[in-house]
Amino acid sequence: MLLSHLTRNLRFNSGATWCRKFSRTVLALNDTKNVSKYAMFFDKRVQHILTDITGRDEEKIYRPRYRDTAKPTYRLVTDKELEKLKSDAEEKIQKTLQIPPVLDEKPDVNVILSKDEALAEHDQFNYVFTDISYNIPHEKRTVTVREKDGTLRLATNDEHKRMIQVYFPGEGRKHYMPNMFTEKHLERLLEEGEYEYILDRACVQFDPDETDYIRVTRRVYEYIADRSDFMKLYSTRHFGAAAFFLTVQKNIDSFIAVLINSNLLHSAKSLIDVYYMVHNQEQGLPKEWSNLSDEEAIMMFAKQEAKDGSRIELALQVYKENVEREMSS
Amino acid sequence: MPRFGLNVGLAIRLARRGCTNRPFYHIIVQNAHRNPDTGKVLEEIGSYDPMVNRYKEKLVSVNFDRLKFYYASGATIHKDVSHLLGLSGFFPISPKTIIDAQRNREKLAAGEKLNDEPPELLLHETLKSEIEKKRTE
Repeated sequence: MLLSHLTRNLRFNSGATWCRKFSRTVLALNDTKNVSKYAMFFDKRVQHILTDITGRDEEKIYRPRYRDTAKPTYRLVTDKELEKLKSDAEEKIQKTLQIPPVLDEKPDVNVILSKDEALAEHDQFNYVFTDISYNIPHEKRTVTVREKDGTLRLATNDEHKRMIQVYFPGEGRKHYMPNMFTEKHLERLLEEGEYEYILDRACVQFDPDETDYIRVTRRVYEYIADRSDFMKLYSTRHFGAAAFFLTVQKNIDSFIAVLINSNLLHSAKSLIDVYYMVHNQEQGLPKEWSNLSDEEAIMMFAKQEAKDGSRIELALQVYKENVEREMSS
Repeated sequence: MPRFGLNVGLAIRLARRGCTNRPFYHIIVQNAHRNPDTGKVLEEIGSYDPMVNRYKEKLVSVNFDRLKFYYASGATIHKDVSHLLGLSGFFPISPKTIIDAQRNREKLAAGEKLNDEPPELLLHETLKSEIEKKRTE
């Protein structure tokens, strides 16, 4: 059951809707002076770079996953049909590689609507009221709670999400958090290297601005960063998200080293572009940045900004030696 | 008070669905002379589950759009429903609620128990600890 749900949910709603939905909330947050660095996720240039560095290893994207194990079919087609098939395949790739948004945590709801002492002890339990009218977006649905002591308040994020799941069940979601996201089981899955499975299921179970989603993904990304295991996420939708999250956290040294080791120098430079866009919003890119070659740019970053520059320099040196060896042989 | 409108003669009330020992109610709209449990229903506009869930909550859902429509066009609202809607903050508090609350408080002051606790539910392990945590907080 679960696996088939996962497969189905991997075909997400179009990327544009998702981005629109959450970029709106980010814009609303931006009204305050503290502009969150995560808001840069919706910047067009950043989106472009993140999709670009994700990689398009078609063998990996189209590998059988979960229950999607149909045998390949072979047939003769006309040029026109071939064109159509190719564009369908392209669309499927774009959907599979759609990057889940990296967001700030949703602020807590703590709104008391009324307090009525005459209602104290009206019942032993809380009442939860949900508005199930049609044509209301779920995030705008009113859910109120009447407590035992007569207080009427808006539902907390947790209660709100639970009620939406009760009355408008999302496919593949559980009413409660599955055990695999608890610390104990999560660590075991991480040791087994099941990063993609954890991240996929987190996407199905949680909303991207939920506390638990942020906790789980952060743990996975940091675990991967400790082990430099990034290539397991290459050509999956989580590669860009991991890159962006670690960029905001200023923790991309191992990421860049891995990219260099895999001969993806240009991706490494693009990622550094994102780094400057996020952290130096006012100054922008350093001088003559666009004139620098990939190697020079990475070197400059390693000297000026990186926490562990020597690691990047070492990776670059190994890369250069490899190139020279190939040239001479 | 005289009532005017399209739907005078309609009633919004609770209809018992569910089965023996497991009550569950729909909030329904029907002609006032019909039987709520067996009679023809015009529209179901909500639900009420009087048995607490594992988070110790009673759940009520209402399609407020339709409720407003029927109320505005003259339907009468049964006192059980207006009790729930009063608690939800949609209507003023129903007198029944206030009287019940007062009686409960008197009972508690006299050292009596209100009702029996619901049977221990089969709780998920993590949930149990979560609820414990909430209780201790």
